[in-house]
Parts: sequence; C-alpha cells; structure tokens
Amino acid sequence: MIPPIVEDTIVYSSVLILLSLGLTLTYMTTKVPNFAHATISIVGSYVTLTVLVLSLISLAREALISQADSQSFYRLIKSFSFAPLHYALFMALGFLLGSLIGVAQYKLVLKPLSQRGANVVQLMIATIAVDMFLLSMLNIYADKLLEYVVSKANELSSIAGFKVNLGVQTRDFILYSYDYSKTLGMQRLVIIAPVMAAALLVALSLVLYRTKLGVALRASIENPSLASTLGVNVDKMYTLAWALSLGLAGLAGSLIPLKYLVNPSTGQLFVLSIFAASILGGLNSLAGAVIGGVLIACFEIPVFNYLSSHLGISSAYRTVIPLLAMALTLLFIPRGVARLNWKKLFSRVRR
Amino acid sequence: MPVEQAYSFLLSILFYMGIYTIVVISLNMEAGYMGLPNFGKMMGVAAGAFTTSFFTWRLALYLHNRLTGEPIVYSDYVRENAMIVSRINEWLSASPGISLLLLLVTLIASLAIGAVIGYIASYPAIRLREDYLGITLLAMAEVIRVIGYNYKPIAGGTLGMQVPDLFRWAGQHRFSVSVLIIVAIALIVYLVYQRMLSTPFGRVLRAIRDDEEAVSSLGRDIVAYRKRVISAGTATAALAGALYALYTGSVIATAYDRVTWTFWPWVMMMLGGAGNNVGVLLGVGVFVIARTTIYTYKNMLEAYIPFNVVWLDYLLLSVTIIAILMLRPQGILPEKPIRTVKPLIRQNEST
Amino acid sequence: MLRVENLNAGYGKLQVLHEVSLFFPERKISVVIGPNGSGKSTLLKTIFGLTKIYSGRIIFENNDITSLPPHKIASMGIAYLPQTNNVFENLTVEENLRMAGYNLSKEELEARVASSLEFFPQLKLYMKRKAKQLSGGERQMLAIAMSLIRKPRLMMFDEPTAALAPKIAHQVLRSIVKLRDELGITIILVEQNARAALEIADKASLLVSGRVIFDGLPKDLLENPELGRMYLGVTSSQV
Repeated sequence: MIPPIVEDTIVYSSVLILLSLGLTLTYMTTKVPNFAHATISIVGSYVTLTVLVLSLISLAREALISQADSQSFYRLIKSFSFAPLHYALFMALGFLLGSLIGVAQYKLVLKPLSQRGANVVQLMIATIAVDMFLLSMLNIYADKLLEYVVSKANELSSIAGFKVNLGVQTRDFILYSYDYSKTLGMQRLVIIAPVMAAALLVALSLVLYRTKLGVALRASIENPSLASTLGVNVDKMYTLAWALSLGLAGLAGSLIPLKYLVNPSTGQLFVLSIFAASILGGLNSLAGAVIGGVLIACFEIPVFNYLSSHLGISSAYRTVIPLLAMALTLLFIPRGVARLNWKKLFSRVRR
Repeated sequence: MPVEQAYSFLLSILFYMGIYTIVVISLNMEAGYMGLPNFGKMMGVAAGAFTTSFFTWRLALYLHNRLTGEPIVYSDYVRENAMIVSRINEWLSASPGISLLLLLVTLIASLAIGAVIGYIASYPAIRLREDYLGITLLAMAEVIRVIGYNYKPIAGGTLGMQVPDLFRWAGQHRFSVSVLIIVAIALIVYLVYQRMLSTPFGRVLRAIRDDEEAVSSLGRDIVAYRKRVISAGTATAALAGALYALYTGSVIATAYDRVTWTFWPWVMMMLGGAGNNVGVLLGVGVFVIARTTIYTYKNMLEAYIPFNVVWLDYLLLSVTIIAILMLRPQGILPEKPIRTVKPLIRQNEST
Repeated sequence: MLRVENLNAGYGKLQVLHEVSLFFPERKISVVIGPNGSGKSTLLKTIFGLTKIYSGRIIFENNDITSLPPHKIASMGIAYLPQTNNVFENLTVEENLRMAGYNLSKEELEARVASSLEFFPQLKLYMKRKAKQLSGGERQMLAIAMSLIRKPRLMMFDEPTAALAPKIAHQVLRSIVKLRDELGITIILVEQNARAALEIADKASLLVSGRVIFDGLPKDLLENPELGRMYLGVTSSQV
C-alpha cells in the first residue's frame, strides 16, 4: 500500500513536470510567461468530463433498453470505471484541443502583437486577457454541458419510468471514483501519470535531439535570425513549439480531475505553481523545467507537510511555497537551478 | 429608468470611479511614468483593507468601552464579529465626531502600512526588470492575500469580518455622503499627483523609464527613486483599499484578488493612455461606466445572448484588451512628449 | 565580381554611407578598413540587404541585386559572416554544420559537411561539443565552415579577428587566404586590425565617415604616411 502522501507527490509532480515543460518551451520562443497556460490545461479537464458524460449516457441508454429497474440501473451506473479506451481518448483529445488553442493563441494574439512591436509587459497582459477569455468560455461550456446532462437525464427518466440521475456535475467535480481500480486497490492515475510524464519526456527529447526538425526548433529558439538566413521557417517552428507545449498542458489537464477538484477557475489556483516550477528550473532550460517541477512538488507536499505538522503552520499556507520559491529564485538565482554553476557554489561554500 | 434607480446607478459609478482613480493614479506613476511593471498593485489595496479590518474595530471598541462605560463583552471576535460591529455601529451613528476621527486615523494608518509594505516590495525592484520584476511583485501580492485569508486576526480568515460603519451618522444619506467623501479624497489624490508629477520629479521618472543608464550617469540615485515611487504608490493604493472596505462594510481576503485590483487597473491605465493623468481619468471613466451599465442592464441583455450574462463581463473585457493592444496600444490619450527649451529659442531667433 | 555604385545607405533616417563606389574583383581578397563608425560594417550589411538603401546600385556578376532581400542574396552565392552571433551556441558543432545545410538533401549534406571538415580538420575533434564551449578562434572557424556548406562564391567577413588573440587571429586570416587559394572564393574583408588584414590583401579601400578616401593597392595605402598616421596608426617605416 502506497501512503497517500507519496501518491499525491507522484501525481502532482508528474502533472507539474508536463505543465512546466510547456510553459518553459513557450517562454523560450516568445520570451513571455504565458498566464493562460493553466486555464488551457483545465480545458483538458473538461474534455475528460465530457468523455465521462457521453459514456455514462450511452451506458444508461443500454441499461434502459434492457429494461433494468431502478436498483440495478444505479448499480450499473455506480460501477462505471474508466477503461483503457477512455484514458487514451481523453488524453489524446486533451492534447489535441490544447495544441489547437495554443496555436491559436500564438498565431492570433502573440505573433501579431510582437510584429507590432509590443513589449514584454504588453505581451504578458495579452496572455492574461487570453486567460480570461478562456475562463469565460469554460464557464459557458460548464453551463451548457450541465444543461445537456439534465436534458438527457430527463429524457432517460421518461423512458425509464423512474428518476435518472447520472451523478455528474460540471462544477466542483472530481472523478476519483471512475479511476479507482479494485484489482490494484488504488487509483490507476498513480501509475498512469508518471508513466505518461516519463514517456512524453523521452519522446520530446528524442524529437528535439535526434530529428532534423528538433534541431531546427532548438536553433530557431536560440537564434531566430541566424536560423532564418539558413532557410528555416522560424514561424513554423514557433507554431510547432506552441502546439507541443499546450498539447502537453491539455493532456496533463485531462488527468487532473481524476484526483483534484475542478472548476473553470481552477487554473488560477495553480498557475503560479507552474510559473514557480519553470522559474526555479530556469526559464531557458527544458531540463530545468523538469527539475523545477519535481522540486516544487516536493516542497509543496512532503516538505510542507513535515513543516506544517512540526511547526504548526496551517495547511492553507501551502500556496505560499511556490510564491516564495519564485520570488527567491528570481532574486538570488535568476537563471534558475539548471544554470547554477555548481562548482563555483561549492567552492564558495567550502570557504 | 426611475429617479431612484438612476441615482443609485450614478452613485455606483461615482464610487467605483473614485476608488479606481486613486488606484490607477498610483499605478500610472509606477508603470506609466517610471516604467515599473507593477503586477502586484493589489498588494497596496489589500494592505489598506486589512489595516482597516484589523485596526478600526479594535480602536472603535476601545473608544466605545472608554467613553460609554458599557464595555462590549465577547469571547470569539471572529464569530461574534457581527454582534460587536453592530453594537459599535449603533454607538457611532450618534457620534459623527468619533466616526470622522476614526476615519482619519484609519486612513492615516492605511497610508503608513501601505508605505511600509511598499518599501519592502521595492527591494526586488532594485535588482529585477520587466517580466521578472512583474512576476515577483505578483507573487508578493499573492502572499499577502494568502496571509490575510488565513491569519484570523487580520480579516477574520476564511469567514471575513465586518468593519464599523464610519458613515452611519449620515442616516439615510449614508451612501451619498460616503461617496462624496470618497470622490473628494480621489480628487485630492489626483491633484497631489498631478502637481508632483509635473515637477522635475516627474520628468526624472520618465527619464529613468526611457534610459536608466543615462539618468544614473548624470548622478541620480535610481534606487532611491524606485523606493520612493513604490512606497508612495502602495500607500496610495492602501488608501483606496481602506475606503473600499469602509464603504462596503466588510473585508474578506478573497475580494482582494489580482484580477480586480491589479489587472483591471492595468486595463484602465492602458485604455486611457499611460504616462498621463488625464488619461487615467478617461480610462477609469470608460471602464467603470461600461461595466456598470452592463451590470445594470444584465437582465435585458439576457434575451440577446445565448449564455449566462455573468460570463459576458470577462468575455468582453478580454476581447477589448486584446483589441486595445492591437489597434491602439498607446491608449485614448497618448503621452505628450516633454517640451524642452529649444522651440522658444528658435522662436526668438526668427523674430 | 561585385560592384557598388554611388551607394547611399543607412538605418532608417540615419545615413551612414555616402556615394560609395567600389569594385571587388573575383578571386581576390579585398580589404576595407577605417576608423570606428566609418561605415565598414554597414557596407557589408548593405550589400546583404540588411539596411535601407537611399540610392545607388549593387551589381553582382552582372545582376542588379540592390533591392533583393537577404535570403535571396544568400541563394545567389553570397555569404555574410557577422562578427558575433554567427553560430548556434547551444547546439553541437555537428548540429551547427547540419543546420547550415538545412535545405540540402541528406547525401548532398553529408558530402558538403565532409569537404567543409577537410578544410578545418580541427573541428573533427569537437563534433559533439557545444559551440559555446569552443574558443573564439574555433568558433570563427565553425562559422566559416558553416558558410562553406552553402558553397558561396563571395564571402564577406565583418571583423572576424576582433576579440581574438594575435596568434589565433593569424590562423583565421590564414584560413581566409586558403579559401581564396584552394576554393577560389572572392573575399571582402572588413577589419579593424588593419596591418594584419592588409598583409593578406590583394586590394584595399579606406572608408572614413561613410566615404571612400582611398581605393587601390594595399602597399600604396601602407606607404602613404599621411593616411597611415591618421587612420592606421602605422607608417611605412614600421611596415
């Protein structure tokens, strides 16, 4: 049996790694930290919810066609659990939707603004505006999805002859129960999250370091003018970077509701943790994003847990951890952990 | 619209314009004049509100107990907060003198606390620039809010607290009088800032924004200017926070969030045109009137929009911001270049 | 091979080059020197299409290339090697070379990388090393090697020896001479390090405040004490 705090850390760090990788990658292209990153991942969460809703509805229909009575109907509904197909579906769709939105954000907002000479602060504000826009969209979707669920439930109720309640809500939802595996005695997410994170990391590394496209992408990020004189379409490369980054965000987001409570505005709650992870790792290093993600997750969960139980700090102060990490990193090691000159540091400490 | 409704519509606009003018004027000095990307503007506002919720009822209670000789007894000031405050309010409604004294003391205390917090916040500004500075200030503001949300003595923690009504003595004219006072204070702040920024001080700020090295090579201590500007700006915002809290009658930390008190001021400043104070008035005016109108006619709009009107707000706002950034980033009233002596000489030469 | 006629050019409203007319003969090393701010770098950038041309013409092998954009000029066989920022620091030497041949087919790329490495065999030792870990001189050689992969007929160097120790600077200049001798490439060399550059030059021009003050043989430039004293810090007696 894995202790809950370990489970929590594993899942949280996997999600954070995927998110901070994306944030760092987009920062490396446009030099702007993207405030909309977290909300885009929540779009992925709603993808998962939608897949659940559609699955439950079709399950309900089947049950009613076979003339089930109220008791067996509810037993069937309650026993629903995600099958491998579902995981594949919502992760893939989450990735897809995330990358579409990411490409749209780059092409429709950030690129035109950069071309018009917007400065960093103006671009930051633009990303905040995109965040707000997506927030409204998610809210509208949550309403519409609920309407859909209710109308379908009514439809099914009239067919069934008893009150059909699918047991889903579109705000404050958490899908823990559909991810729980009786055979494993724990949530499948605890395995899926780190496996996906590792697999995607490997895939990303292979693309970036072993393919011609990847080398061109790294070249474009580092020196766009030199790359363009060599014939690289730098804009296509940046678009690719945004598609990948926000795709990862959407995928990570599709896993979030399996363990955490989700609302359209959930993104606002953890966007600063993502920033902290990227900044701690060094905004210009992908390896740093991974390290930062692991570190922040460890600070926020096991370390904070230890401190709060021994020093009597309320657990509500957990949100201060990424904020402190961010501020301290920017003030003292602005280039992040990845670029720290470890040798210099040790020699200074030794003295 | 019936007279009563029209009047309260007007009052609402004047109230928000007053409060936001104070906030945005201070932001304009920091960001518009000096080029400091203060994404932690909320810090000052929260500081003022928290000073009010911490300090005002305690002082009022002390005075009440001393002057009436009938001490109010309580055991849990958070849970019994409503009882304590309503007793105080009863007493205050008959004592305009004490109320105004409390108002004065509260405002001064808010200014002081705001200045202190601003001074602390100026430290990152010494070493950081642009996006890094913006993020650090954002993080600092969030920390203050988290503390205000969790540390009970400040604002009643998660439950929030009521604050004494320092305008109750005005009876049925309570709202009119309080708005009048707020608008008067806003006017004073505007005039003070206008005066302050049209002196050489203002020109130095702009010069620092445009070319820091040149200014420092001319012997000006940039760091000292930064400290002064951020302290003053935060103190001013604290004034607004205190007034807001006193008008609304209660403080809950969640009401002092980064969208309402950092992001919207930025939008107002950009809308009107950064770097000049008349632009601030314009931006605040347009923003407040537009939002209040939408809010008031919410029910009418429902017929025309396929979704819940509540989300229209953020939707329109986000689109407007991006439109401003794309089409007219300098705002309605762009900054006028500083006129130097030359034109006069040329004029004299030609005669 | 390349002729510049009555060229007036600059950045935006700031004019830097005034009525510049020069001729750069094929397969020769033409050196352009002059004090700081004389417009030497601007001349190269103008030829490559990176500045604003007010009037005048640039003719390359009977083609008027005056109004062409940089990537078109590059495709005509002209290479421009700026002083800095000419390699990808975070990429390995091998990746840099591959990027240089981005538009080539795999076989062609392999062939050209191989011949480029023949020219700079030292680079073979550093293939897996990141460009930023190379010394200044090695980095210049990498930049030249990358340029060679595009098979240029004209190479324009903007102060390649700046910030290099004299011995390394010498090596870089020697490899430039090799480019002319072994590959028949025409060279335009802009240099601050006047004496060393003039030593390898076939032809020399002196630019001051955006105007051509001298255009002719290097030896004439070196032997003119007036010019020598004022602009080169070297007189014929010291040569």
